[in-house]
Amino acid sequence: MTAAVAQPVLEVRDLRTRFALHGGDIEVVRGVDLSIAPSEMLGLIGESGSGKTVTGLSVLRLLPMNARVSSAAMRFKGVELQSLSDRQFRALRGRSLAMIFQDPVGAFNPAKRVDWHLCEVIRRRQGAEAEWAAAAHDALQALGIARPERVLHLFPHQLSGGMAQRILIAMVLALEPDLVIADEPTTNLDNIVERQILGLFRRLQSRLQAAFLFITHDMSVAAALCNRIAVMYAGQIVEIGPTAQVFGAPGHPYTQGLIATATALKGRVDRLKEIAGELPNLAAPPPGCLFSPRCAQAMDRCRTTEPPMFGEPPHKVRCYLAEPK
Amino acid sequence: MSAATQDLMRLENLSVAFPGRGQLDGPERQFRAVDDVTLDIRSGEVLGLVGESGSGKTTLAKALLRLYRPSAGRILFRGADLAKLRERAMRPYRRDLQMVFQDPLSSFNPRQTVAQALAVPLSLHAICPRAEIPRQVDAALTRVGLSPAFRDRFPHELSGGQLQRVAIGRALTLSPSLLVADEAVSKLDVSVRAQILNLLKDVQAANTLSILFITHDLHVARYLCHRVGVMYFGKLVELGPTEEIFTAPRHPYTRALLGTLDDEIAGGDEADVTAAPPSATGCRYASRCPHAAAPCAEVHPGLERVADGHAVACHRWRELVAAASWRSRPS
Repeated sequence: MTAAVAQPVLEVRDLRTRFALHGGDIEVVRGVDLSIAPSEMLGLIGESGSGKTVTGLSVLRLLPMNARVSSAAMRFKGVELQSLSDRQFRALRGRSLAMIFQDPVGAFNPAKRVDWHLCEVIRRRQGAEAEWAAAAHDALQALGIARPERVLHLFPHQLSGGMAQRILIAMVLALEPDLVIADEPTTNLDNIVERQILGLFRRLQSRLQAAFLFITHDMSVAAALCNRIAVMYAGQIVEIGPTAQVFGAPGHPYTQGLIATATALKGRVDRLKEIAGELPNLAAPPPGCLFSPRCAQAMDRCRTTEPPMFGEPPHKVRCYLAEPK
Repeated sequence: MSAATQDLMRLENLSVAFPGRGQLDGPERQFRAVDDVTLDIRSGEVLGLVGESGSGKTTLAKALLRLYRPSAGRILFRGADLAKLRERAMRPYRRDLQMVFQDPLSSFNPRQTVAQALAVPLSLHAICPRAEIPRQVDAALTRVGLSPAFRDRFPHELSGGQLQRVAIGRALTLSPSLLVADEAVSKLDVSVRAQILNLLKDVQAANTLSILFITHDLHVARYLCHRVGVMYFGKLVELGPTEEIFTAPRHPYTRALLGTLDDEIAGGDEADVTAAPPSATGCRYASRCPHAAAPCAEVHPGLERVADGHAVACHRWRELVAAASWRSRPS
């Protein structure tokens, strides 16, 4: 693990995000610790509603007004993000901190052409207006788009989903950011295009210095791309570790269940394994381990006392089963 | 499945055309989203339709439910040609043809409770006396694994998986003979997806229902479907029993699709990103096909029989099968 050597690009300690609703507060992110090293790709996986996206948006201060974000520490390249004013934060976001969204077409201004979008980004780092067009051209070429001039004059609605996502990635990379948060960037694409975009990410990863937080519910995507995996359930990280260890020797029953359901579809089976039940209602969370109501291996204390993280640093598991004997 | 070979519905040369989808500044021309598709749906089978987005899967499904009016061809169902029917004459057939959509939240009225939503088809089609409706609603919920306690909830109070169960329950209240499921699990995550797939499998077996299952996820298709049809740019390019499609695909496009199943993520085949749009006359796949030859530019091939129940639309499939590079995929 190189993470211990280099200073992490992002370090988050005890991140908690609450939403104020009519019925009272709901804590959606419940004490998340994360750190991402330069050029590392950390996969954040879990089912919808587990708090993956809110975690990403909390870091980028992109949540609605009724959200309250607190954390013991949220350091970006050593700078405490919480101490920055909104104005100072805006200077970072969209420059050193970037986000790639799930719906690529929705991320564009429908009335403007592709070149306008790219130039909007390029002007943030490049002074001379005369050079913008060439830089936009190069940015697309770098992503393997064969004749960029064909694409530059199109409107967003004329782009296929895959092309739109490519251009969005080109825009983000033109910023030369230090941290990219990619939220389900391939979920809306079909298999063939998804594979191309993932191949693209993989090639970029080796070329760039940027750290990636890659949010996905697709485990094969996470396994193919990420160095490390964090598994989220009901607002908590329940397992974190190097990809090979999390997928090869999952310690948490939830991770085991996810992997069993995902791999079952790959073979020929008569019946898929399910993880019975649903995410808990976080307005009235169950006592003890949040996964215990769905867990086949739950013991008495799981239903009363919340387990801490167990295990040696690279691979940690929030489950009493992983407790050293 | 083996015994059930009776046709429930037969599509003959079905086409659906939309006006004016050519080049932005070019002449206006028709765009055929579904182009001359002939296909039978058997009683009690799950027929999968796979293909990338834009291949015409959804348009085909909506046409056979007469949510779109076909521009040509026939839809033979229960002795009638649905393609020709007027809206009013179509109505009696509607209860036999039900649909479950991709996004469960947007397929419910946000101001109706689950019970109200489930009661709509029952009262519209006068399935049962009014007093009987609450009991039927509870039965519909139980059938899809939900407790009757859900009856007074609003759609936004349910999770995606629960809502998709309600949507399936609503479609089943009318005891249809054909259920069209359009990407019904693609918005759900793995754990919930498994639950819904198992549910679909169960209701299909319990009700001897035919399901037209549209998906771009090949794993899902393999799990659920008895037969699979592969679509590309409005054309049905291959059709056959699921295992044969997966282990001995004959169309180069099917092979390309299956290639995406293999675990390693290849360096990325960029060719198709900038490929020319499919030609209007020749084989639709020719511009992306690594095996395209002279005849492929001339005319789109018709479906040819490969084996029992397995057909492919490719000029060169015989040559390609004989070629050394065309090995059978491991199962």
